Amino acid sequence: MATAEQTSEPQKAENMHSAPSSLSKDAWLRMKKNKVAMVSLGVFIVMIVLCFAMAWKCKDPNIINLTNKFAAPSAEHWFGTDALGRDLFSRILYGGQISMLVGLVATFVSVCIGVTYGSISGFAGGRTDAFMMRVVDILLSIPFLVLVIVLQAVLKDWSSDTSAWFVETLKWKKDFSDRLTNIIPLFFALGIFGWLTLARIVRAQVLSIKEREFIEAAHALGYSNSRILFRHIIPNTLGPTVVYATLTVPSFIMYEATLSYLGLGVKPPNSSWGILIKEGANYMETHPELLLLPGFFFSLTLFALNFLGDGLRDALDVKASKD
Amino acid sequence: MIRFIFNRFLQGLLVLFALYTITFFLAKAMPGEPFTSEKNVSEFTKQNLRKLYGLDKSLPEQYFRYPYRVLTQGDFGVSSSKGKPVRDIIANSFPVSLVLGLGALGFAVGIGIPLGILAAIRKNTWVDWGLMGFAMIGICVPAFTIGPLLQILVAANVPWLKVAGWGSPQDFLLPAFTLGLVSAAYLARLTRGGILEILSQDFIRTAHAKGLSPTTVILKHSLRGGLLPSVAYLGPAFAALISGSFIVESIFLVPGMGQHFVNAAVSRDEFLLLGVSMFFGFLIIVMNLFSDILTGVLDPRVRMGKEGA
Amino acid sequence: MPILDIQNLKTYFHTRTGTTKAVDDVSFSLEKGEILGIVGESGSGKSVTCYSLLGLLPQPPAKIEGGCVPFDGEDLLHVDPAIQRKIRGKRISMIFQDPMSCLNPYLRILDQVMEPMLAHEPGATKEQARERAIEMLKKVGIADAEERAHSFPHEFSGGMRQRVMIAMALVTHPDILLADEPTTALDVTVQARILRLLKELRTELDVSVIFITHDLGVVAEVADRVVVMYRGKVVEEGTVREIFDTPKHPYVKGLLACRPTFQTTSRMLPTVEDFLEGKTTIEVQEPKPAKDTQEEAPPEPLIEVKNLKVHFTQSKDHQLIKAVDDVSLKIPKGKTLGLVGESGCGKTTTGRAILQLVKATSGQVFYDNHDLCQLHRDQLLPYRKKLQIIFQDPYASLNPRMTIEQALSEPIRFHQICTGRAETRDRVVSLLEEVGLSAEHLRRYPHEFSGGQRQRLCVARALAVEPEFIVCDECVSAMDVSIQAQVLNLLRNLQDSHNLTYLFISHDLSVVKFVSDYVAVMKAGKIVEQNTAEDVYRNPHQDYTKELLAAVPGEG
Repeated sequence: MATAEQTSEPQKAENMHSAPSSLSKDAWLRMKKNKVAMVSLGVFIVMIVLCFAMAWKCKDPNIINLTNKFAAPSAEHWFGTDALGRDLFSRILYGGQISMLVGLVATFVSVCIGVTYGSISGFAGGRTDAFMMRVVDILLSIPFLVLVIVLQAVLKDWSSDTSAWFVETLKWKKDFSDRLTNIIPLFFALGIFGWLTLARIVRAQVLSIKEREFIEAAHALGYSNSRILFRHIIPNTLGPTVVYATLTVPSFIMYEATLSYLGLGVKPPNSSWGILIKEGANYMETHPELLLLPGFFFSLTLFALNFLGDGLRDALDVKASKD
Repeated sequence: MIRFIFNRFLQGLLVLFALYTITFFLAKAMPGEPFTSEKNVSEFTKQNLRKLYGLDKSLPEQYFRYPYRVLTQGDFGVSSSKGKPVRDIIANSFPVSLVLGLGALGFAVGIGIPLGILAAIRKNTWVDWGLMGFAMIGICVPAFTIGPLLQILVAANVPWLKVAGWGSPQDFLLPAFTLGLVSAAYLARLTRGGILEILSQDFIRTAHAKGLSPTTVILKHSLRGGLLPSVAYLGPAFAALISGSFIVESIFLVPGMGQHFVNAAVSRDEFLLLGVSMFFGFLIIVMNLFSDILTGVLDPRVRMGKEGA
Repeated sequence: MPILDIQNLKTYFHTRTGTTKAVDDVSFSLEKGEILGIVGESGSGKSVTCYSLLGLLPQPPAKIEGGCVPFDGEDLLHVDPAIQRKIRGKRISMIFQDPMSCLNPYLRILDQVMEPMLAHEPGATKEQARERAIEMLKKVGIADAEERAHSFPHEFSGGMRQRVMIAMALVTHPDILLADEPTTALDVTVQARILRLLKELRTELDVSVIFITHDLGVVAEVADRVVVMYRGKVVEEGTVREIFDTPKHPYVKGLLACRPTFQTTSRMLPTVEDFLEGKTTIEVQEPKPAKDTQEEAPPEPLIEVKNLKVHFTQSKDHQLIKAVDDVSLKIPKGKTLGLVGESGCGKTTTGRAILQLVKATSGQVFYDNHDLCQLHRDQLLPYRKKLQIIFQDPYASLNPRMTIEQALSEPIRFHQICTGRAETRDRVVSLLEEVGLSAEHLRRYPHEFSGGQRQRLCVARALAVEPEFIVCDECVSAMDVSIQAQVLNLLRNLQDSHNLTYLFISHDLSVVKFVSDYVAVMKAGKIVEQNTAEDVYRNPHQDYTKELLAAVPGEG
């Protein structure tokens, strides 16, 4: 569409009075103007603080008190109690820890694998690239959840064996070791299959950047391939990678919830939001708050992350050359 | 165009093959043995079954035996957890899942795409924000929260709709709707994005310069290109629907394939697992092929094999 | 009798960073049956003026602040949108610069050409529209119009697509045609044909045309009267002869003077700044001692290319593309060899192959008695310092994430030309000053600079490694004429002070003639003619060369 024409040369020279600004800084300034995204960022930070920092101060979520089932909210139990008399508020916070940890760690693993795979594939080009992408295409066509479920089933017993090993050999506390090995298969399963789309995105970026003249100039200056890939190409792919990573976290949290709902995810004594929602669904008609409250926290976090990702995408979408 | 379809078909076969290999080895890696959790099966029968399905043979032999039996005799093995031939189990539950899946797809396309178009046309107005807000709800609130909530609502206000079960024709409505909601949300966003992307292109300016009415510009000039991202998503969307069906089936008590799949994973039922996975995979490949063909229909550059399409 | 009268048009753009007065009180008129050329560089407001007439600007951020444009009883600027839509495409049509992106890739050509008639003539049937569309396509020179009309845009070449756009614009026999840089993206021979076509159609269909361009040569070729715009205002108006022979406004004088033509003999070009600052006219000439060197033998070749071939196989249909097909060149030391040709002739590939950025299929490139084609990547490293390249697109030639200091220091440190931060920084600053920038630009990022400045930065980067030979690959092609003059002067100065040898690749014959000592003409991967610049331009031997020279607008 017709926009203001390219600013003429003298005008451009005049404009250069303010401080130098990198592309990242420009993008951040653009994002600050996006109220929805900033609010979402705030909500997400609050959620993290709640679940990780405040949780220590709360009651133990596992204490069962059968005399106090389904209690209404009170000063002692801010959200009341659940079917086994456990404090709902702290259950939600502790559950949040697991859900978000799974989301963040699995995303981190996916990003590491995906960026590496995608940039190597894109940079290598030719047959190597074609082969690597064929592999990705095939793996992508396989229903993700199907494979994750099968993988989970396979790894089910692994966790108790490994936990025992941790306790014996590394002298870790059994409780901690149990909780950890309980969720590792999930990280594994999500991380192993979650990097595929990111690899594609990174590869597409690398392919288009590879052809740009500043990369040719780098070749003409004699720089080594690794220097070109790491110092010139990859830093320019960060935009879409960051956006996609931000959007992957909520989808992984969703997967975790789905798996937990099916009984294939996190197991007690761990509680995740998925498990809380599942338990709550059982008492839906009589005590809907057991479903609605965890559901609300869960959905709110996902909302925040998704809006944040959208905001990032809008902020970074403007073409690199501002003319 | 024929060549294009043929290529995609071959690719599909490759995917099926890969799926089989991965599932086969994962199934074998599962701890525990088939036929051990069913107490009803006698030891003698177990031995016979093992022999029949070559479970006593080496891995590579088993690997080739299975597809051979499937292709020549239509024999998918016997479910160790249910004691019935896998083929029968699939034959009974697949039509249910298919109806559910297609119904969900129908809702997804019927709701998602028109809403996405509307949001694009009314960009940055309350209509747009409202619709995209709803779409976000569909993405962020899981089916297993929406499902039960819908059940409560419907039970209280809509007497002629059963809340669970699968007997009368209208029973597919609620589960299909719940299932389709997530895909509808994604489709709405993709459609909106795709159309906005097209609207910023130069040839839309040309259309305006020709004095065409805004309706023509939207419907005739921007839909084809604008729907491309949504169409490309249809294939994976169907995959998502099939995967999500497990949950919806359990909430609404629908006797589809999903429950069998989960049970097979939980009870180490090799043949059932293999059978159901391969079936899912096959369905998804068909849907991906369909989505690719649709892309070819919409975008002439793709079907003519032009680079840079 | 003016058919369109633009009075005091003001169009401003209101953005977060401020208000741009894109069109600032512009008035001119269009006479019936004439071709009016609007000339200006980027930022002059020429395109925005025409978009304002048809209401094609997005109303935020653009706003028409004032003016009126009477047309057939209505004021185009203040008319009801529904009526405006009826005028667009029926009474006033528009064609644009890039025909590929301006045609809908998903619809057939015939469909798109039929549309304006179906939309604006309610009585017309599909059959009638079809007939008229095909008739129009034939008129604009599409052979086999009946069959080809069913194709899609991507199946046509650039020139044909522009013809389709013209057909589409004229199918309703409008009164006025607005043409926004319609030939800028086309090869020079194709451009010549399209300009001829427009002149014929103007007479045949009795259309009045407003032709927007930045190219003075094109305007001389096609227009009757000319309006020159600068920074949103009209600075001069007159017939073509008046503007070219007796320009009055200093900007126009500068614009005319700073573009190289076949007649230019000075070594340096005057720049628009010179004229705007009031320096008296064209004193910057130092006639080239051209006639003398013609008799001398050319100096030793720095680079000698022998039988270079670069072949590609297209991945889709495995066709062999002979991008460079047996090319031999001698580039004398300290001189400039101009490599000229139309798009797709292989000149860019040749440049890259010489620098070993593209692998040659066969052939030799001799530099310093070594055949560069035989060397591995590691062996080439010392040569990288000696052979450099400057690209066409200054926006893509610099890493957007590096500051200028980083971008210029990297090659210096990598090749160990300096050690230590202080020494490197001093060298970077002196490089910047040499290209006309300064130390204050060190901390800035590429996107903060204009196109011309970025190109200078690319020159600085190439100079950083102290090369002997630089390939200039269409490096002024994407620029306004006034900026082009500055960069060409810079290249000249650097050649003199550093004794550089250039391979100057371009499709612009006037620029090539100005810059080069020797010229090679390329077509379809082969060298068609090769000689000193004077000889090639004065006495072309080959038909293709003659055709190219004749097609240059304004020189015919």
